[in-house]
Amino acid sequence: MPANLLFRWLKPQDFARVSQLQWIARDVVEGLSGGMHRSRHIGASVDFKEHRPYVHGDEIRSIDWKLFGKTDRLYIRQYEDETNLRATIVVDQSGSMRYTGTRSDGLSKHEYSVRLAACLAYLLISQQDSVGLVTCDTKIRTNVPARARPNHLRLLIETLANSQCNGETDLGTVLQELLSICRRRGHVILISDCFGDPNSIERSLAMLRANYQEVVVFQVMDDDEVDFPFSNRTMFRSLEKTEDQLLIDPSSLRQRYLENVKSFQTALREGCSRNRIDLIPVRTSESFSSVVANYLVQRGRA
Amino acid sequence: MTFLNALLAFGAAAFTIPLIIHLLNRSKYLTIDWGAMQFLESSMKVNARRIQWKQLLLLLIRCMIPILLALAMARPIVRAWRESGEGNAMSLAVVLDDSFSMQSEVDSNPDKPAVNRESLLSRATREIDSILGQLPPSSSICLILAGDPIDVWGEHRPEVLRESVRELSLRKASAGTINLASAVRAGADWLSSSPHPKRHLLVLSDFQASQWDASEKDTVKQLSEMLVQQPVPIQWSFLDVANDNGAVGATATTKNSNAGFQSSAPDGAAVTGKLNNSRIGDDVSILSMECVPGLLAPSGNATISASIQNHSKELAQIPVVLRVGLEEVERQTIQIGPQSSTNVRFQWSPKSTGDLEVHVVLDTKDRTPADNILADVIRVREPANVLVIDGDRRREAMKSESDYLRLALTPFSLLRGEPGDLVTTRVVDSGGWNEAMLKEFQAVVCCNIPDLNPEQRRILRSFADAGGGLVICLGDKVQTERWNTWESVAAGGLRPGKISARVDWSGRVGTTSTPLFELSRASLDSLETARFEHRHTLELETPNPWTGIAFEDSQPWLVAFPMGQGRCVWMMSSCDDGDSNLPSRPAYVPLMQKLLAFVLQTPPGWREIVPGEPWREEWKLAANGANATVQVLFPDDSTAEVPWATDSPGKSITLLPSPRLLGISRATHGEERRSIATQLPVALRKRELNRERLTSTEVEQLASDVSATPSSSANDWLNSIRSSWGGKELWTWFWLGLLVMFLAEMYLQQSMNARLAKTAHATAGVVQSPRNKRGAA
Repeated sequence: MPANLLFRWLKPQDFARVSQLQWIARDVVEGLSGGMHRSRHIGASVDFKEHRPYVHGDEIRSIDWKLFGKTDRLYIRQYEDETNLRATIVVDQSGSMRYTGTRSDGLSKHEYSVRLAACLAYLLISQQDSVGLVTCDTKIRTNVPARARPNHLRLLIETLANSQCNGETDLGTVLQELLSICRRRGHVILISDCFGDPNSIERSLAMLRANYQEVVVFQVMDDDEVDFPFSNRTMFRSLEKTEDQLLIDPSSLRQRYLENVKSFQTALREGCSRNRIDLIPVRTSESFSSVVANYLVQRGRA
Repeated sequence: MTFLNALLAFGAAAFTIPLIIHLLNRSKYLTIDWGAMQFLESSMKVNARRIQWKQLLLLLIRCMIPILLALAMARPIVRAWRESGEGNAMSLAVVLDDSFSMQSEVDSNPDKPAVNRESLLSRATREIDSILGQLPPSSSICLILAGDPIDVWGEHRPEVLRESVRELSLRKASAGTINLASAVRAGADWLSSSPHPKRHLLVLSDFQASQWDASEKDTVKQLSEMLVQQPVPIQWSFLDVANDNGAVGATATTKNSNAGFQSSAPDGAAVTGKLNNSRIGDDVSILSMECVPGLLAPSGNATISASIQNHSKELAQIPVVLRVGLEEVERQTIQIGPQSSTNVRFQWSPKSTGDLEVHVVLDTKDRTPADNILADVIRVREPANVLVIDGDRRREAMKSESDYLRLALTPFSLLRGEPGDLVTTRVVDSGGWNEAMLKEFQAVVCCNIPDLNPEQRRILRSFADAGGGLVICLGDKVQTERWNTWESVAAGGLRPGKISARVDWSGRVGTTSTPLFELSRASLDSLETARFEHRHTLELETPNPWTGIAFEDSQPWLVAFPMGQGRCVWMMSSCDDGDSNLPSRPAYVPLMQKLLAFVLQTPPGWREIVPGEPWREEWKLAANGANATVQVLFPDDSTAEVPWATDSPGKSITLLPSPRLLGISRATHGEERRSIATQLPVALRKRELNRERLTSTEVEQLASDVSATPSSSANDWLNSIRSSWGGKELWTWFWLGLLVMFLAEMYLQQSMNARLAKTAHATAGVVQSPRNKRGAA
């Protein structure tokens, strides 16, 4: 275990809290090795599921002969097969993720996202699930294939640590590219501020869903971006396009800005809800471990 | 429009401060590297225009605030009241000095025809007229004639008062000296209940040195303090009508003459002041006048004496004329040395009965024609029959109680055997008279009678009720315990109060003279030397104040009161030498004659009042209804019509609230005629002796000492008033505007803040809701 790296990203209290949790997928996910997640494939396993009457075409070896002896009827014995979860964590490293607010304990949105990703990766690997990592801006920058080995966590964290925020965002295109990477069933965990065209994002997410991926979106925003607390005359310089800057009186624009944010959030939330995607708004002022914990509690009950 | 504090108006330049702050703020801004540009850019497009005009409005308001503040503090005013409509109405009490000296002429050029000369009083009224013409129409004005006694012309609108003032300018001066204290107090009293918060008292006077100099300054200072201590402090101003600066423009002729004079004198005011004093020259006046006796029989002899003063520094030769009625009776030419006085004496014997005005006139043209004439009233009556009831009658000569009285009442017939007495007397014992006898007599004198039986008391009371005169003298025979059982005056009897027993008392009478027993100066002096050894005291029962003469310890001696239609006098000592040495005093004869003259009260409809005492008459309204008026003819031949108040038919009517002209005034209503004689008591007969005036600089000094504003003309005063109180007070509107601007600024600021806060709260709620849900779960 790369304890030094892990501790660099995770505080001890987060570490302890996350390790207590178990990742329970809602649906059965296809996996390479037996894990805690139920598999749709029924096979030879230790966990008995049910008997069902024999129909033509069933394997002869799956007939429960002992029961035939007792009942004189042919029944098939079914077992549950446990599989491993295959999760791909997609971290947005576009320029807008570099914003550091005044109330976020000095963390930029990207740094927060990296910690959240590390947290999730540790959690998944600790329950023998395969975890892959994709970083992206306008396109996919790095791609670490999913592995379930404990040593894989080190590679993931190193990749996260080396990721740089640059350039613009085109989440729609990136998610479409992701289709070629995630060919098998699995989990896609998107950590991004989702800035961009909400329709394009929704379209791409819908395609992922159609490709048997369960998608979770952690929408990371800073408090400043949500409530726009500025009052003095301010020059806003774009983090994505350096030539883009606005000198405005924030108080005069505030109302309209907040309306825009609200309508964007609404559009995104409705798009996700239509495609049965979990959208989790996250503020950088929140503790990311509690975000994960709350989400998992919610999922466990669903 | 002008500014009272013009310097503060430059403060309006402070409107640049918000602009500068705005520009400074523009150049100073924060820089933030921002991710969510997509929300900002779309906001810019929609909000830019709406925000911009609100910001501009706020900037405009913030610029207006210092401008309005500066303008309001600079107190802009519209100078012309008329131009500004109603303007600011004020209450103004005008104290006009109408003393004799105000009859002096403004221009002292002796070459000028007398008809063109203008008196100071006339000029003062012209100044008042000018002020009234320029005051806001809704102002309240009270005119107070400050000559003694003062005359208050109640509350008027300027336009109404202007008419009266124009009449006043034609009036001859009637008052004596200025009674500044009473006039200013009357003005302050009126102002204290005036409807306007702006209250001013304006004194127009010629500022004679004798009334305004150092000895009188304390009085003026006290008045000034009194004005300041009013609940609403009253400002006061002096308008010196005698200064030549103000005379410029008075008439075309005076203007020319003064203009030349002033051009050669840089300090015109001071020089003209001296000029006034040096030219006081050809000025003589009658200081006082006396008719002795004032009441006499047709064959009697009256002595009219007058004291005449020469104020000039040259010997004056003056014709002095005695006029009775309109007829010149006698003319004497006297010589008076420079700045000295002399007496002139006339003898006159009336030929018929009646009330006559006697004038002493100086037939000369000097600078103050008003004081060249003085009037008095002589009443000529047929002798009246007087019954003397003597309670102590003796055979020996000069031993009876009434002997001295008879001598006093009929001196001519008893001493000289000549006619000319006012009365004829008949003396009877206490019981020697009856009701039938009284019909022959107009007056009854009871001297030292022991007692009266009820029938006698009834007869005397009904005699008095019918208009007869009654004099009751006490003495050693009076049985006071029985007298005190008599019916009181109120109960239809004779007794005015409780009478004490005769007691030893050593003293004199007080020196106060009342107009009822008007005595000459010599008689008054003589009366003071009378010594009393015994007397009775009287405890008056009637609540009315008594009139008469008191002992020196204020106990009543002579008590006079009306009884029915007649009059009654009680004397609290004997009328012979039993109680005092009065019969041996020269005052005894005129005093007793005055007593009788008072109770005789002839003819009906004749009254005597002192100047300032209201002239009221009780008249029944003639049949011709509500528009009835009373015609009044004044001693100066002016007339007036006094309307009868319709709500008080048959009640008393005030014909003249404050008569000032000495002489006889006559009132006529239908068939009825009433007269009054306005006379000054000897003690009050003062006239202005000193014609020295304060110079303009001295007036200014005086004004500054007593916190008054000096002015030389009406316009001068109006300007000072306008500059201190402003015309149309525009600056109050500026304060109002300032308040509105402050409210608008606060509203705009608050509304913007409130909207931001509301939207922030709403958005925060939306964003945080999922988390909150989770937290709840």
